Amino acid sequence: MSINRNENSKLDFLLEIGNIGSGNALTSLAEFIDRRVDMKAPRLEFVDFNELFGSVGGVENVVSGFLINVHGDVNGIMLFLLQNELASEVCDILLGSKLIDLNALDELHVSLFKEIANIMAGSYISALAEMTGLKITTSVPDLAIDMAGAILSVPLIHFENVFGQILLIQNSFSVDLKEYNSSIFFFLEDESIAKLMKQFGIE
Amino acid sequence: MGKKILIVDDAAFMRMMIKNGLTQNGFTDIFEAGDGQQALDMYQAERPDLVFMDITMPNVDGIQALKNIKAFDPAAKVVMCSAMGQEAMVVEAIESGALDFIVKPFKIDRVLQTVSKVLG
Ligand SMILES: [Mg+2]
Repeated sequence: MSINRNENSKLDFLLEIGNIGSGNALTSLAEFIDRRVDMKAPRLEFVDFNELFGSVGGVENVVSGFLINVHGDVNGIMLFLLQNELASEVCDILLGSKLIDLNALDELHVSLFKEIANIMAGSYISALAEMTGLKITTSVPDLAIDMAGAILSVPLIHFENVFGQILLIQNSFSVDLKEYNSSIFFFLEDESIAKLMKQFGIE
Repeated sequence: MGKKILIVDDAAFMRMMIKNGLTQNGFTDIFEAGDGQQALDMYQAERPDLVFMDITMPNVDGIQALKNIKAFDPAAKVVMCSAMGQEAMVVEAIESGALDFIVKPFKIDRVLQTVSKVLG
């Protein structure tokens, strides 16, 4: 992919958003579970649709995926992939019992999972909104527990023609010395990217 | 005490968390709703003294539910609780009649402070 100057500043801009957003999201996670969360610098890159599956290691790993619609002044989709071990750990911390069977989640567990995504996405998007002065809201998360590849194929089917580039943010962090990874795929409409950049004074 | 409190959140976990905090502090008349439509129905039926209102919910969201409740009862006391803590959202909520805005995640003490401030 050849990138001109204009494209370059667009990439820098989106990477910066990813950086600040992930910091906020993980800080919120730490507050939610009332544990120390140490994070490494996030890895950020742009992928296109045919690179999606290769971008996360182990498409056959079963993970928790959350699909969140972003709308308002900015339109797009966020897809969170969280390791099931993290989800289980959070259940242990907040509900006092580790998850044994992910296929047998009750309402309380499902709502806890969704609330993690809601809070992380909410703080991510709020950071973006505060930086730009735009009004951006998120939908209720849709939860799917499946192989990473299967979860990724959902936006692939529906939005291939809508979103050219996808921002992939990979976070590594530790909770009580245990290491976890999460991936956020941020699908943004080109028009929305232009609007965000304009708010930052980049054209 | 004897004050009625309505907790509105689509996440059962969040309702449980707030409810536990309130019952541990002596509140017994607690009602729950899982979306904005149920919130209005429950408000009309129970006339609670205070409402905690989530924003991101299916069917009718919390901002719309706030407006509906205030239209039904302009004296309604509603406090928003949301992860969408951006300024534009807070401003819209306050302009629509919310008394306060608690950003998720929060410590239960923040909820209890609000209860004593509003219900005094
Ligand atoms: Mg909610």
